[in-house]
Amino acid sequence: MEQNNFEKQVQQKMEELKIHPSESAWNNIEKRIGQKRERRRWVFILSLSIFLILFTAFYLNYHPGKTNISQQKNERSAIVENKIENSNLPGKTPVEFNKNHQETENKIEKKYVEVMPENARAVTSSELKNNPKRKINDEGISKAFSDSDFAQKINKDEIVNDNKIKNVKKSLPAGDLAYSEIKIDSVIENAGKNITVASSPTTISDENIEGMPTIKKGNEKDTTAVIGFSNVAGAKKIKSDWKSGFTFSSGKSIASYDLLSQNKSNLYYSSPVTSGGNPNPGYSPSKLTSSFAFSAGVFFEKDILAKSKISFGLNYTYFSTKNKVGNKFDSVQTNYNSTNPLHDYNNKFYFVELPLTLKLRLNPKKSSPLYWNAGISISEFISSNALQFNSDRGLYYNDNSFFNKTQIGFSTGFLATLFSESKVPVNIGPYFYYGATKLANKGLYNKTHFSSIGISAQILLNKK
Amino acid sequence: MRQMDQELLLKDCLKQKPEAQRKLYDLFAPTMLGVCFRYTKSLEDAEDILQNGFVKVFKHLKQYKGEGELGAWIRKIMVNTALNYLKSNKKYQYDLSFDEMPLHLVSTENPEINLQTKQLTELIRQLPTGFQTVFNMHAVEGYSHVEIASMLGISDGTSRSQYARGRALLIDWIEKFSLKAQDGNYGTK
Repeated sequence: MEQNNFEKQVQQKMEELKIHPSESAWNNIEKRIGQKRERRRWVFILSLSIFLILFTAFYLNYHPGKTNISQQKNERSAIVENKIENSNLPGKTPVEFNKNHQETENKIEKKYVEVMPENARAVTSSELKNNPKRKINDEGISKAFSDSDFAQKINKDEIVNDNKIKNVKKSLPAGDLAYSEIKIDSVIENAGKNITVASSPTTISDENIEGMPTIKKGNEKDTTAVIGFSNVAGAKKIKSDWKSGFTFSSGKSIASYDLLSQNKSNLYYSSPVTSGGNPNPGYSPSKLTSSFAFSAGVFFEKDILAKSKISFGLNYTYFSTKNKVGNKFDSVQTNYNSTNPLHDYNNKFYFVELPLTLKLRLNPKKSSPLYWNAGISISEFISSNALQFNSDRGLYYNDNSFFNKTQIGFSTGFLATLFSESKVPVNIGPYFYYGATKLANKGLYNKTHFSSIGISAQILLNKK
Repeated sequence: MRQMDQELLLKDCLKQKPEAQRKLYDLFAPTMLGVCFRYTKSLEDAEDILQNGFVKVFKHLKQYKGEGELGAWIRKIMVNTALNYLKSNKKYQYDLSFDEMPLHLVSTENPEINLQTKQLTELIRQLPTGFQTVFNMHAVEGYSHVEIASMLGISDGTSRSQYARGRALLIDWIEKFSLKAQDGNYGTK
């Protein structure tokens, strides 16, 4: 018990021990937990950007919109009409031709039903007449779609069915053959209305059939002639070369606190400033305002999907901010006083930037495409004449060591194409850039981020 | 601080609100720096431990389920951080290499402590690091020798031995210090 008495006394004495830590201790803690927040925010921004880009790419390239279906329909109809015109049907009047068409339609439908298994083909027009409720053999199609070896199966089916239909075609006269495509096409369209892709994986391409113009396979340039699964809008990969061009942008830039931060305090101190009970008032810097931003460079782009392009480049980038300063009083160093601010001072920042951008075509028109672009860029600080501020002496001075040399930023914008038919098409549209890296960790630009908004233009070269 | 206020503060800290984090720090930092100070030989080392400890507190705050006092939870983190600091810092490593010593009680005295907190703290900090660490853990924090043995990677016999020797040495110093203070050589401010 007595021994415990000593420990109790020690405990009581030690409970009273309180030492106030220095202010730098909290600053260090804040910095360390702030870095964690910053890392978390980075992960969030990157994940969100990647998700948005992938989602949009997926949506625009794999989602079969009505426009795509109708576009394919028009393209296929045009081909069929073209074939009929070229197929020389000697001695047949329009009435005879229509009669022939009807007979041919029945033949083709019969053959189609014979060669295609029920669970893998679309409903035919006669089946539709007999049973209007049955629009498509959904179960069979769904099964085919849910199969992980979907692509392989389709290819195999395509070869087998191709051969079968070739045999059918060979047994038909040229006029009937031309119309066979109409039938197959219509079957495909019926299927497409329900499941968006055709259930008849058939490509008419037979150089042995006399009197018929050859239609190229799907992976060749004439993409509209492919009928069947391989004609899903935008699903096929485009073979294309790198194209180069120049890019320019101009707008306004501002250095501001983190967009995602709730604490949007001003960039300037409240005046007068006192520190540590010092009765002498400090000085406050003038407010930073937005100013001109400019960027110029080269870029290289390549089609990666039917509606998507990827590009990278090299830019020379200029950002600036403005503030009011007093007279310059030191001829050796760039020092300005802050009292009686007389004129604007342009704080200029120069960077070299490496942007990586994904471009997605938003509209189906190839003649006047509209793109949405999003990208990430790494910039390296080159130089600046930006002023820092000494609140004790009320002086502005240069110190570029405060700035983070490497900046990572995100950009997005829209681009409309002008003169798309010319050799030098121009993309032009609004853009927004946000520098995710802090411009500096101390000084006047402490914890600020550059952002800029304006108009960007791209001049594409080497278009044949 | 009222229970509700503390809960609100914790919620805000979990939402990473800087103002709340600063408030929590201001609330506990002086006591915790006192804890850290007892385990070290310099205030700079104590502040280093405090910083590391508070970074852990904010990082693992969601693990605090409201069982027990928040202060006790933070103190536990500080003590663990201090032990890790002592183990990893070269200048403490030699003193922390506990030799296996036979258990013998050097002193069973229980003197009245007529020293001020700061004076007693200084005496504790003058103990060799091994004695200092075990004494702090057992006498002040209230860990058992088994727990201390487990946390320091020593046997509980060594913990008892270190404690007994440290305690005896401290009592000796307290008596001497008190006598000198009575003689007027050391005035207590």
